[in-house]
Amino acid sequence: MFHQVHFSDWGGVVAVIAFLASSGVFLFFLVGALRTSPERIEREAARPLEKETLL
Amino acid sequence: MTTRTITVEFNDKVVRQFVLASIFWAVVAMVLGVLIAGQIRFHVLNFDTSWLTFGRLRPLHTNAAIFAFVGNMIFAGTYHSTQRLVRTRLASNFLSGLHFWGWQAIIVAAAITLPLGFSRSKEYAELIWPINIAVTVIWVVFAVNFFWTLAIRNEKSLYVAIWFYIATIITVAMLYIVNHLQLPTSLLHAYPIFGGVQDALVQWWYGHNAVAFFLTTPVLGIMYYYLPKAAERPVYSYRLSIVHFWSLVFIYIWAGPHHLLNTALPEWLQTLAMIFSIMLWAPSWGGMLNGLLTLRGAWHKLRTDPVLKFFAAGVTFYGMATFEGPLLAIRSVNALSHYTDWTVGHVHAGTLGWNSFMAAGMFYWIVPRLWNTKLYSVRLADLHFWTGMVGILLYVASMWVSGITQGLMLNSVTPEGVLAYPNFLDTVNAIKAMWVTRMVGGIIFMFGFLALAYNIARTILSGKPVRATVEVEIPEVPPREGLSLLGGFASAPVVYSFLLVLFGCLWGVGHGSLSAVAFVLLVETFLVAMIHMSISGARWGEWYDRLLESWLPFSVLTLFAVVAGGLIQILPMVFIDQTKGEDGNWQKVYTPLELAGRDIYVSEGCYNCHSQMIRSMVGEVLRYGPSSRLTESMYNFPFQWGSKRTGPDLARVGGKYPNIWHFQHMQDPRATSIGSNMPNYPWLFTEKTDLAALPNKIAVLRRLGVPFRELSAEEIGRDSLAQGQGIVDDLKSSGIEIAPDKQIIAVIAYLQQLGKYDPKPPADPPKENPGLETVLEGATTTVP
Repeated sequence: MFHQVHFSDWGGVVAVIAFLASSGVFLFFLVGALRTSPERIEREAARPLEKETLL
Repeated sequence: MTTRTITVEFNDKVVRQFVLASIFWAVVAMVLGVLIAGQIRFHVLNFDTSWLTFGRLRPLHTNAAIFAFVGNMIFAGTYHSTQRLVRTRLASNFLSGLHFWGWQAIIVAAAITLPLGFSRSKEYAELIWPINIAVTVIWVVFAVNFFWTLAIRNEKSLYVAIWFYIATIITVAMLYIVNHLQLPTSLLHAYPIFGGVQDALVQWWYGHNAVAFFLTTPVLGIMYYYLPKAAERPVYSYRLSIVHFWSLVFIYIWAGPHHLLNTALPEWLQTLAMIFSIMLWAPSWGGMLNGLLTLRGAWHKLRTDPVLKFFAAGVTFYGMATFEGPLLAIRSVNALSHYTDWTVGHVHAGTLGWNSFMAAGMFYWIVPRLWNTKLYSVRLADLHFWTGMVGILLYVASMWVSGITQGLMLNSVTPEGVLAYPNFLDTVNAIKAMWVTRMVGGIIFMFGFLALAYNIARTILSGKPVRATVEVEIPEVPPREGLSLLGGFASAPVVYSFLLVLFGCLWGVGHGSLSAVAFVLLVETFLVAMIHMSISGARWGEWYDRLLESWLPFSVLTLFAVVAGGLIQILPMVFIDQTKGEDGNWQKVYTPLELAGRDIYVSEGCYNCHSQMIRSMVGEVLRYGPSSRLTESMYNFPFQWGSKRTGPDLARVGGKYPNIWHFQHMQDPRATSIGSNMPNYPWLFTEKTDLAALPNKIAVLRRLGVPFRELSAEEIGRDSLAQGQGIVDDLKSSGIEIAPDKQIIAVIAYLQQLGKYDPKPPADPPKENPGLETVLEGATTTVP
């Protein structure tokens, strides 16, 4: 069924640009995950445990 | 740096309101669910009453469950946890109140309009256009209130739960707006701007991601806050949460077309959706494992703590449902499961197991704290847990059995090459016991939830609303955001990632020397990036940390991650030339009466049980006729491909039965189809067709590109009555007396038209539609 589809020129260009941009962002965040410092990891993981006061 | 200490009092009033609203609407959704489960098995439960009929109540059930129950729950969780995570009060009391009351007003409007038959017939998007505008406005109110709160926060770093809330707000806005683009024909009716395959694609891009970004990502955010809180343990892996979040939001958005496998949808889209669906296993299970492993060292608490019990079971159901989802998205599995109860069982494993259990866990944790008291009864909460668990298992298991049974029977072909079960009702009769089991499961689950409602009510009555505060040290000079918007993009990792993908694409799709050069550049960029990372890796990490302190660049990058899938899948279909490769079967333009009949069909929610899409499978072709083509539904605004067959496909039903058969069938389906579970439609025989609305409707459809002839209002009325009179005369020969302006006549006209096509495209398209002109130009070269 592939033959049924025909890209208009600009539609295809927009689609490719969107794919590149989002893939780039996605790969970048993998790098971010790998490079996060141990101190930050420890601090962030415990964030929900912070206390509050009830009046 | 000098600092001062301030006391922040949280706005928990709105949180309390959303919690109570969620519980109330959950009960409504479950009562409706039990009723429609009963209606499927016992048709008398439709009570021969229009506003109590399955086709109208099923959309109300799904909307109530998704937007009223889970919607109010996620608003409560988001507002409660965000204030604490950013250590500030919600930005605006007024916006918070407007958000709450606006959302409730929308739900009430839905509860009135859907039973009255005002429906767009797009699943989870049935509400009519004035309500759509209200939803958009209130969602913007939510977004402004949320992002404004982030902008004035007293905690620099954005915790992982907030990432999920950001993704939810941005993506739902995008999905909702695109899928609700429409042109009104009156105050209560509109046609979507997309038709046929485009509408199908946009709808399931939205429908699938409503599950992803309304029922999943915000609840994952809630999991990342409340599960560690209840377990008193830090999140198992912060690194895993980063990978989980970005891979989930990037991949999820691509999977929508798996709702259209084996249909006339172009094969490249089906394959793309299947691949991305299977890829979803990884991030989904990453999230599940991160949740469950957070309980390490706290598993013993499950014996006594109902909150953890619900969370652990909810996350487990999330894992099971997200295992099953990709499985069902494999085309060969989908050939069996689609249009059957298996899909219904799958979504209820998610909504009952994941959403409802996570909601229960959150309510049991949050309510005693919001009212400064103790949970009224732990034993009652335990009872709720076990009744809920039994209810879900009965529900899901019966739907598995029912779905697989019906799928196998419908696809079964004898060695002689004929259908083993040619009568669709044989498959219905085979699964009626499973429908009863499902209903029993639903009732048990509902009673469990009623126990929650009672428990929560008694808890609230034993306490009083409390003001929660936190002491915050803030610098005299407010710190700047970590990164500017531009700074969010201008970084070495982003540039390298972009170049790698660019050269990868050129290598893959380029020809000859372009492909070779792209490959060399790909390898070179990779090596340079690796060397650069080894030298500057620490700075890259810092840069990422700063990004997590900057809500605006973070949000924009999230938008980039989610926008791609939709653009790549939808844009080609919007600009598709539907004529290329087609060799006939051009959809006939409806006559005015057929259009009126179609709008009644849409309004009654017939799509809830009947598809209009014959898939390219042997069993379907033998049962219903040649598989459907794109051109056969190109003028359908909205499309009616359906997603579930409680009754047979209707794509080629026109001319299969005489008019008298349809007349009697709509009056009492058992009169023509013994054992049928379809409701009676007595009001179609007394209510008049709204012929006065047709001129506006036809004018709007002409603007959308449907090549209707130019007719005056008088001609439209005359034409409709003339066609109706033809049907009336035919019925009279069978001894039936009825006026030509009754709704049943329009419905018969529409049904008799289904499956009748022109061998060539229409010759006279309206001039104002350049898109259709392109279609027709293409046709002249391909149609003999």
